[in-house]
Amino acid sequence: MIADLCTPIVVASPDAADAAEYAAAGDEARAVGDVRIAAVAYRKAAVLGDKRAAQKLVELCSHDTEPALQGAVGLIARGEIDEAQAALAQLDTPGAHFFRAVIALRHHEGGQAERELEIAARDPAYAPATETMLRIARRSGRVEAMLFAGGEVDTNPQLVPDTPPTGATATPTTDENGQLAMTAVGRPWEWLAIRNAVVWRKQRTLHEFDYFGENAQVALEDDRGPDHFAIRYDFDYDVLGGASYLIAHRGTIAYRRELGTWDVGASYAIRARDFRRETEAAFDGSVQTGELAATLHATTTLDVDAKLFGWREHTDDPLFSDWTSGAQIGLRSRPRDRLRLAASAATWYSIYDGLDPNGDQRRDLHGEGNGEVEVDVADNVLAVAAVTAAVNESTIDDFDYVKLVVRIGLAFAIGGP
Amino acid sequence: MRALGVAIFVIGLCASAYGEGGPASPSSTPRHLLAGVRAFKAAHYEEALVELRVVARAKDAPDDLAFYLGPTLYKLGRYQEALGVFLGSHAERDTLTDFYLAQTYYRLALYRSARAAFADLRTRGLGPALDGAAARYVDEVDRGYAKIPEPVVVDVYIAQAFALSDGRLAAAYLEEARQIEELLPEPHRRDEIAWELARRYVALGDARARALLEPIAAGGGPHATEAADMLAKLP
Repeated sequence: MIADLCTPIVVASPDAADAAEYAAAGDEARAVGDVRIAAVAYRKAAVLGDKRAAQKLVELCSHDTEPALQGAVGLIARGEIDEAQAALAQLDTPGAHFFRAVIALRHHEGGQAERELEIAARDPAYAPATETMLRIARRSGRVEAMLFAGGEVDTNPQLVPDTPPTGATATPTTDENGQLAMTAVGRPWEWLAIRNAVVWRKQRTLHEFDYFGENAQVALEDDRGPDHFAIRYDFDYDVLGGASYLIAHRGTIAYRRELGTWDVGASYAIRARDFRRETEAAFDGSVQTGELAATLHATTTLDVDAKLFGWREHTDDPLFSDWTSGAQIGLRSRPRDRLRLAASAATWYSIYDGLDPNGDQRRDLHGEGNGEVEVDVADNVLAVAAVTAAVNESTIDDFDYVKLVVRIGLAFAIGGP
Repeated sequence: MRALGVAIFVIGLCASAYGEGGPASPSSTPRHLLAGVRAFKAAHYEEALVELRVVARAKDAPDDLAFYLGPTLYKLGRYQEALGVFLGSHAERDTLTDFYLAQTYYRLALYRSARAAFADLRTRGLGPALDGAAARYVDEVDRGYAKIPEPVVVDVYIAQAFALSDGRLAAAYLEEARQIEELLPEPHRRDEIAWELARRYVALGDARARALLEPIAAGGGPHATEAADMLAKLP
C-alpha cells in the first residue's frame, strides 16, 4: 500500500534535471512491479516540479487506494472471478498482485500465485499476508499431495468408519493406534479433479480393528464464478482386521453460491454399501443424504458454518433402516499467522423402521463434537492435534455408546506447478 | 574508515565537477549519494533506495555502491536482491559490507555460507559487538548442523538454484548445496553440483570456474568434452 505517499504535493524549488533522474528511477522501479519504490521516486520528482511524475504518482495512488482494487476485491468476494481478473489486469500495484495470487490459488495455479506474491511482498503492508499466502501457494497446484503420520487414543475403536452400530453394543476397550494417511489430487483440467486417499491404522492391541481404507474420487467441478457446481463419484474399499470389509460407491451432486459475506449451498448424495462379511450382510443397502449449508465469513479470520441435513438409510434388515435429520454448527479461525483452529458440534435424531425382538422401535439421539488445532511448522509441514467426542443415546440400551478420540500427528503437504 | 572514504570520494567528485567543467553541468551523483547515506542513517530505507538507484544509473557511479545499496536492500527485507548486489560488487572487500553479506546469507537460509562468512570475518578481526554477534551466528549454525543433514537438504538447495534465473543467486544456492554435501558421509550429487556451479561461474566470468572444470574435464565423465571446451575459452 502506498497511501502514505499519496498526500498532496507542494512543489519546492523546481529542478528539472534532478526531477528527471528521480522520474527515471521511478519508471525503472515501476517496470518491475516495485510500486512502492516507484511511488517514492515519483513523489521526489513531483516535489521538484515534474508534472509527468506527479501524474504517474496519481495513477499509482488511484490504483492503490482504489476504488479499482477495492472493486476487484469485492468481485473476488462475490466469486465473480473473471470480472475481478479483468479489473486487476488494469492495475500494477502490490495489492493487485496480491489478489491476482488469490485468484491463481483459486485456479490451483500455485506457481503463478508464488510469482505474484513475490512481487506483492515488496510492499511492507502486504508482506505479512503474503508470507501466509506463500505457504499455501507452496502446497497448492494442479497436483497436490499430503502425507500424514500420527497416532490416536480411541476409547471405542470398535466403531470404525462405516461400522454398523453392532460394534457399539460391546463393552468398549480403549486402545491406541499409529496411522499413516496419504491424499493426492491431480487436476489435468480445471474442471476435472482426480483424488485418492488411503488410510492405514494399526491398533496397539485390538488387531481385529486394524484398518485400511481406500477412497478414489473423480469429480467434475465448475469453480469459475460465484456459482459452484460439482458432480462426484467415490469408490471406497475398506479392510478390517486383515479381511475385506466394505465396498461402497457414492454419487454426489453439490451446489454452492458465493454471496460476499455469505456462502450458501446444497448437496445430494447416494451411497451404495456392500459389506463383504456375512456378519454385516444385514447392513447392505444404500444411504441417501441431503444437505443445506451456509457459511458466514464473520471476519477476515473467522468463518462460521451452519448445516441442516438428513438421510434415509435403507438396509437389508429393516431393523437398521432409518430416517435421520440433524444440524451442525462449526467455527474456523485463524487467530495467528501459522495457527488455525476449528471446532464443530452436531446433533441428529434417527427413527428406525423395524421393531426389535422386544417389539420396541429404536430411536437414537446422537451428539458429536470436534476440535482441531493446526500449526504450520514449515512451508510444507503441519502439526495437527484433534479431539473428537461422540455420544449416542438410544431407546434400545444396546445402542448407547460414547467415543472419545484424541489424535496428534505431522503432515507434509506439497503442490505444484 | 569507510565513511571517510565515501566523504573523500564525494569531495573528489564535487571538486572535479566544479573545478573543471564549471557549475554549468555538475554531476548530481555526490548529492544523491550523500542523500542516500543520510536517508539510510535516518532509517528511511525506501528513500535511501531511490537515491542509491539514481546513483546506480549514473555513469560516474562509484564502484563500491554495494556498500550502501546492499545494506539498504537488506534493511528493506529484500534479501535476494541484497545478495545479488553484494555478490555482484567488484569493490574491495569491507568488513561491514561483509557482515551484511553474512547476515543476508543467514536470512536466505544459506546457513553454511553465512557461517563461512561470519567465521572469516572473525578471523579478519571485528569489534567486540560485531564479533559477539558473529560468534552467536556461527554457534547457531553449528547447533543446526550438529547432526549430519539428510541428503534431501542438498536436493532442496539444488532445486532452489534451478528455480532462480539470476546466475549469481543460483550459484550461491549451489555453493550452499556443495558445502552441505561435504558434510554427508556419502555425497550423492557432487558431480552434478560441480558441473552446474562451473557453468554458472563461466557465465559470470568468475575465476572459480577453472578449479571446478579441470577435474570434470580430466574425469572422462559425460561433461568432460564440454568442460574441456570451456576451459580452453577461459582467459
